[in-house]
Amino acid sequence: MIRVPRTSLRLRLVLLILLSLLPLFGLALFSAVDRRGKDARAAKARALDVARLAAAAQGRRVAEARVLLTSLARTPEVTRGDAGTCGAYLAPLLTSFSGFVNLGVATPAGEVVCSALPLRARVNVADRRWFREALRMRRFAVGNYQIGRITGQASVNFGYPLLDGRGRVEAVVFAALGLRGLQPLVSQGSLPPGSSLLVLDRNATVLARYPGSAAAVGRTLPDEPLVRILLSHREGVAEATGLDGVRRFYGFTPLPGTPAANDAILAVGIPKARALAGADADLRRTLLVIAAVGLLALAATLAYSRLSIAHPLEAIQRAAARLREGDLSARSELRGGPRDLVQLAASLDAMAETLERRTGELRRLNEELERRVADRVAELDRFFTLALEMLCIANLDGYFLRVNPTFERTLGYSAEELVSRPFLDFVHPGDREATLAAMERLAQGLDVVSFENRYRRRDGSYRWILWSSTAVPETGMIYAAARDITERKEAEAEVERALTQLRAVLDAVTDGVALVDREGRLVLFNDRYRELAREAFGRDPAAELPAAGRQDAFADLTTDPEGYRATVAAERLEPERAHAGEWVLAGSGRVLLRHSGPVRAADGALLGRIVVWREVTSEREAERLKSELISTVSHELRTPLTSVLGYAELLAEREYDRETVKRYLATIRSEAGRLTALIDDLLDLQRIEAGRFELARRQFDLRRLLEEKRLLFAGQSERHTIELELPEAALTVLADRDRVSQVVANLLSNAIKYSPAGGAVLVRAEPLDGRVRVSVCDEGLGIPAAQQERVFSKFFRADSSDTREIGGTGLGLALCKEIVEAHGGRIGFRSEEGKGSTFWFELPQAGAA
Amino acid sequence: VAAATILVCDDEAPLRALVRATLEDGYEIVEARDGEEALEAARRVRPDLILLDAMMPGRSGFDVLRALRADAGLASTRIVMLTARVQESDREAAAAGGADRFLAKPFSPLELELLVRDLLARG
Repeated sequence: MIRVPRTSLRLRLVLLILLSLLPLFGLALFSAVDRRGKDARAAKARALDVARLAAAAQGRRVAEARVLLTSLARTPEVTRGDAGTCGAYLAPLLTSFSGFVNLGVATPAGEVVCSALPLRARVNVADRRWFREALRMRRFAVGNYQIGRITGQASVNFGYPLLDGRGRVEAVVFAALGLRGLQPLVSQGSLPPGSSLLVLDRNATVLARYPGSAAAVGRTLPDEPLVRILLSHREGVAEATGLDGVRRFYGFTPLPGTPAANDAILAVGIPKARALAGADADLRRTLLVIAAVGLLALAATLAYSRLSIAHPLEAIQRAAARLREGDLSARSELRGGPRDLVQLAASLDAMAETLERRTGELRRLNEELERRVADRVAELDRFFTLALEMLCIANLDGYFLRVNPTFERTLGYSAEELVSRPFLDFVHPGDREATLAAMERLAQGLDVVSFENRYRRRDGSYRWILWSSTAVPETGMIYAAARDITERKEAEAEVERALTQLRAVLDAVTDGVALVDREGRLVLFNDRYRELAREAFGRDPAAELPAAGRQDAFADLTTDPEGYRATVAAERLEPERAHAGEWVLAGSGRVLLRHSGPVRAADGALLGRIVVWREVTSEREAERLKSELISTVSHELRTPLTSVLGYAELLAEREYDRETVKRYLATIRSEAGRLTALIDDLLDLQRIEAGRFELARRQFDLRRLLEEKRLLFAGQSERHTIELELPEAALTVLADRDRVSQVVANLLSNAIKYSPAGGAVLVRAEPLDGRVRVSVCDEGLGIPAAQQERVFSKFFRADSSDTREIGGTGLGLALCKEIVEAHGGRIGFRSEEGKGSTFWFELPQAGAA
Repeated sequence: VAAATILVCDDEAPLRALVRATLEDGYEIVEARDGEEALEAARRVRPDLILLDAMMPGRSGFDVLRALRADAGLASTRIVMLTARVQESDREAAAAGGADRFLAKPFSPLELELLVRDLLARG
């Protein structure tokens, strides 16, 4: 927590102190700068004052020079004396008049004749300005500051003409005022040491310089910065570097007494260092004081920080470090010190306290959890070991990692053997692909449930295993529970076999059989049931599965929907009872017998119902036909019987004449004959239908039979002619001659009976594709089209007003059909009402086949 | 006194001949070979009694019976159904159709004569 190094904190405190000293430094510097400015200005002003003072002094000396020269001009020793006298007179004057470096007299030609200083050579001053001015103006003239030719030092010369009585210039008295007089101003005055004096003429020639070697005097230095300032400003102050390289404040002013154009400039320089020495000393002092104060403050701060901050912080840090290292009992136990730190330490201690407590709780909790986890693991381990299920942990690489004892027991391999090889090695070759697919699903994170495959046992046999597996793809682990379902699979196969057998039995049954459960759902049904449902009811049970309860859906398809519904309702109300009913389908007229009864389990519990449908359409039709036949036969028999009995009774009870008796007896005989024929036909027909019909086959020529029949029938009717149309070759058939004869007789008899107006009957026989075809063609009444389809049914007789009187049993054609078909032949006819009929039949030709 | 008229309707000629032979001495006999002829004849001659065969091709006897009974002009005509059938259902159908009597074939001519006489005498 306290990671900032101790030095860092101290550094910060020191920086703080230093920062607090900064304004003092600023203030000190500011006042120093201010002071230096003031001092500089003062120094400059003083330099200017001194310069002006010097200039004024020089001015006074010019005045002095005028007075001196004026008086000298009146001094005879000077004006009249020889050079020696004059010189002697003048020489002392040089000491009286300080500043003057020479005095002398020159001729109007400029020849110096007398000089205070001894002349070592002839000197001509005719070119000098003061001389020329004095000569020309005849009055006091001032020359330029220049290096004297006699003195060899800088001076300004003054000339004063000596006029004769006529006003001509006799001589020129001159005085050379040196610049040495200025020296004391700087050397002895109040100016600080190092102050300098400089006199320049306007040509930048150094006329005087103090202090400094005389070497510089006389040199022209127009490029010196100081020289430039002086020449350009002539009067003022400036800061500049002197010729000796020392920085100075200068005050400068023109020296008076000389013509303006040719004046000199006097500059007094006070060394900058000197001028500012006071200020700098003050600054140093102030800085020293500040530094001392700062040092003191630092020392105090450091001492304080050491005592009040560093120690507490160290305590806190020590505690924190111990906490960090895991010693949660560590406390700073800081009591004294700054309040903030004490609070911080208290917080740290409180935190440590909490941490210690929490950690303790966590440790206890953790221990508790670990113990519980260990318990759970032990529990799971026990279950893993005890489970009757096969349990395993495998990986997606295809290896078992762990298997439980049941696993080992089931397969007969030890766990070591099972985990040592890819588990696919144990899988039946036929199941490996499916197993790999299942693993692929697992690898995708999908669960695999209800997966079945076969595993090899140690003894080489295979067991069916049912798997429920899940995988964690991230870890590549598979967790699986499995079960040996071999017995179940075998039982299932057994059931499957039994069901297949049952199915075969059921499908062999010609009745529709269906089993519905107690809720009315269709459980199973056989092929016939499906067929019936589809044909009769137009529904496919496989698609729709109409259960018993929904079988009233069939109701509307029957001719008795209400009755059907009532039956189905009764089945629901009385599931224990059997129900049977016969239903006629509306439209098709098919008749279905429906029987339903309870189905019980071995323990007697009701499982559902079995519904059996049986189509009885043909049976019912046969019964109906039979009953109709009986009724018809009864009618047909009673009619002639009534005649026989009736006439017999009349003859017995009443008296009739002989003719009438004969007529009645004839009627009795013919009606009795009709009865006999009827009974014969019926018996024949019944025999044929019952299959008790023996055909006495033999070969014969059909042509012979037809000729015999023509002869027989030709005598019966005078109104009919019978024509035969026969081939040359024999029409040999293998048949029952008597029966075929019966057929021909029937056809001929019909032809004659149904052509009451008479006419030709044509009988034709011909071979036709290995058969023999016989046709009997009449020109009679024909058969109405509406009745043609019933021609060969029993007791059919063509019915119209014209046929009413024609007798017959109505069995003839039916009998013909039976006989022809019994021979493997065909019978048929073509007829048009009012135009006649052609009946034909075909028999196989003998030897043709 | 004019003889009562009897209409015999049967598709079998021998049967019509037997009835005629039985009743021709005391009654006027009219024959019909089927239902249509019977209705036509009945409306034409207005017989006192009709002997009607139940089982005929075309229009059945019961059908004809209903038609006759629907005719107001024949309300007093006696009708005897003749049938070979002996089923109870036929008797009921005959009674329901409005037949006065039912005579099963084969019948005794004398019985027929008595039945006819009895029926016409009641009229």
